[in-house]
Order: sequence, then structure tokens, then C-alpha cells
Amino acid sequence: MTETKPQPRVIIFTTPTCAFCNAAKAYFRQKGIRFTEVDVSRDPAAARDMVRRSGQTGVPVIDIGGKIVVGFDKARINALLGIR
Amino acid sequence: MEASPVPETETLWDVVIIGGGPAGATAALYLARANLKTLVIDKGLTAGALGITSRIANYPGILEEISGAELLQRMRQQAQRFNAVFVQDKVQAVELEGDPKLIFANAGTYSARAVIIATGAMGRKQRIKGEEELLGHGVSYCATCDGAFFRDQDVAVAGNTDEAVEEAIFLTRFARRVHFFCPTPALKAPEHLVEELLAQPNVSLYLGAAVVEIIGKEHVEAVRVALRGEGVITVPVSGAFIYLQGNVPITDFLGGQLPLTETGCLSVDAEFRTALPGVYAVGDVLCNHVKQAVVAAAEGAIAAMAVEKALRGRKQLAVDWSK
Repeated sequence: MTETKPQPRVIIFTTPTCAFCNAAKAYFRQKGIRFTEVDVSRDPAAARDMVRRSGQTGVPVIDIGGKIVVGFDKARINALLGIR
Repeated sequence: MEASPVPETETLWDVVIIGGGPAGATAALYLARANLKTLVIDKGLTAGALGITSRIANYPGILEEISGAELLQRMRQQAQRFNAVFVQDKVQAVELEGDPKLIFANAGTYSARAVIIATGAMGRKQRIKGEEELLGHGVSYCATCDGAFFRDQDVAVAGNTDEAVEEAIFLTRFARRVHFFCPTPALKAPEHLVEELLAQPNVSLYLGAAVVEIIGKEHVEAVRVALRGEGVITVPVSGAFIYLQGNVPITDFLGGQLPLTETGCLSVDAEFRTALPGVYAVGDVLCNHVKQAVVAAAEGAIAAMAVEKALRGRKQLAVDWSK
């Protein structure tokens, strides 16, 4: 049996009408990655927080263990989660 | 905050067609008539080459001179008569290797056993100065995705299609003022949409206005706009939403999952199959020598028969399923 490290905390900032958010979420589900979703369209404070943290005015922004991924960047997500 | 939802129970379509021009609409007609569950995802009636054509006089069987949009509307209605479903949405990404195939659009995620790519050749190659550098920092291609970040701010919209107009109308709900820059002397959108746009109190429409530069250090601060015959103006905005068209095949949503030719086109075999099983391509996205609606429609018909053959495990194409 191989030892596995605990999964870093994953937060994805989304809007309901964001295709790449859905693509990222589908990818997480496919890989069995647990995540928390923040819908910035319903939460203006979260939207401001996301812009402040990432400098981005577009979703998805993904926070993986405190590291910010802009967009559905599969290679960077894989690297941060240690998956392939 | 909310916990991650369980995966949606989505409809599995037999076929999803990306693009509702003559190629896509005709494929939908043939597929729906073969009782295959068929969905067409399209950006808008006037988003493509046929939809913006003002007069069509050489489409076989159509004696009166009608607009391209009217001809396209008839094709779509004919497909809908056989229960094809059309949805107005923009595909941003796809996952074509698995089964089912996943199609990620702004309004939702669709899954299908087979996909037909019929996106045409009105994509852009030239970017506006500053556009790439400020993408994600005020530059966006999707108001319905990113509009919420521009609450009570001034934004620019560049484009002239129904897609651009609808996105601008959406933005009026968030933005303080929407400056709409239409590069042509008139909008190429249906009358009711244009009326709805102009009825918004916080829209300024500029006709014959080409956005030539997006200015900003870390974030969009202004756009420079060339007004026909009136020089260049600078308009302060914090967002720039771009819906301009060009003349290159639209393949960016594929994310490199299919090989492209040197000229950026998709390649297919005689049954319009791409390099990936269950994925087909038709119409102008193939860089056809003759860019005519009748040619695109014919390709849609052939591809539909090939899809039906593959999904039903036939050995040969069936031309008329009513027999």
C-alpha cells in the first residue's frame, strides 16, 4: 500500500455562467479532488477578495493550499496537487 | 461558501453540434430526423458568415431573395420540427477524448456520444494592442462570466453581432455605463435586440467605432477608439469586453485536442471524421475552397449520416430513415 499525502485545501472561485469553472470542477470530480466553491456573482465581498488576492477580474481562480492558479491551468493544478 | 455539489445529472445527448450555421443546422436536421437526440449550441443567428449575409439569391429551391439570417432561421426551424434542440450559448472548452464527450459552455456543461464541430471561419487572428497583456485584468470575452467584477464601473464592449449586443445588455445590470463600440456603420443584430440595448439608460452606442488600443498598467484604464471620420478618442473604462470577428477558423475552444493544418483548419476524411473517434467537423472550419451555404449544408448532411452509421453500428450510410 502506498502512502498518500493529505490533499491540500482547494477553493475555486466561480460564477454560474463560466465554462472553464465547470471544466475545472469536472476535472476535480474526475480526479476525486474535494473542493469548496465560492460563487463570486452572489457574493460581492468574495469577488473583491478574489480580485485583491489574485489581481484577476476573471474566473475561475483556484486556491490550492494558498497558491493561486489563474484559469483552468491543468498542468499547474496537477503540479500543485501532485496528480497526473 | 458552499460545499462542492454532487455532479449534475446531465442529459446525455447522442450528438452535440457546435455551431448552428448551414452546416450545423443541416446536420441537426438529418440527425434529428434519424431520431437521434440532437443539440445544437450556437452563439447567435448573426454570429456567422451566413447570418450576416444581407441577400441570398443562389440557394437552390429558394426563389425569393431573402437574408442569410432568414434562410438560416428556416433551416433551424426545419431541424426543430424533427425535435432538434437549439441553445444559444458559447462553447469555451471541450473534452473530446473520453466517452461521453464533454462540452463546456457559458450556461452549462453538455455531454454527448458524438460531437460535430461546425464553428465556421469567422475567428480573429489580429488582437487589439494591449488586449493580450490585459486579458484577465479587465479584458474579457465573456460578460456573463465576468460581469460581476465590474459592478458600478464603466466598461467597453466591442462588436456588432447579436452576441455582442446580448452581452452588453447583460452588462448593463452591473456596470455604471456600457460604452458599446460597433466597428461597422450599423449593428448586425435583430431589431428587437438593438431596441432592447438602446432602451437601457446606461448604454452609449458608438457606430463606426473601432477600438484600436486597450490602455492600462496592471488593469484596464481606458480604450482608444477610432471614430470614422472623427479621429481617435480615449474613453476611460475599467473593463473591455471583446466580441469582434475575423476570418480564421474558430478552433481555440479545442485547446489543442485536434491537429490543425498550416492554415489553422481542421482536417477530416471522406465521412468528415477528425483524428478523434466520434468527433466530426464540417463547413468553413475545414477551410473549404468554396465557401457557400449550399456546400456547408451538404457537408452537414454527409456528416450526419456518418454519425448515425457510427452510433448505430451500421456498415453503410443510410440516406432516408423513413423507409
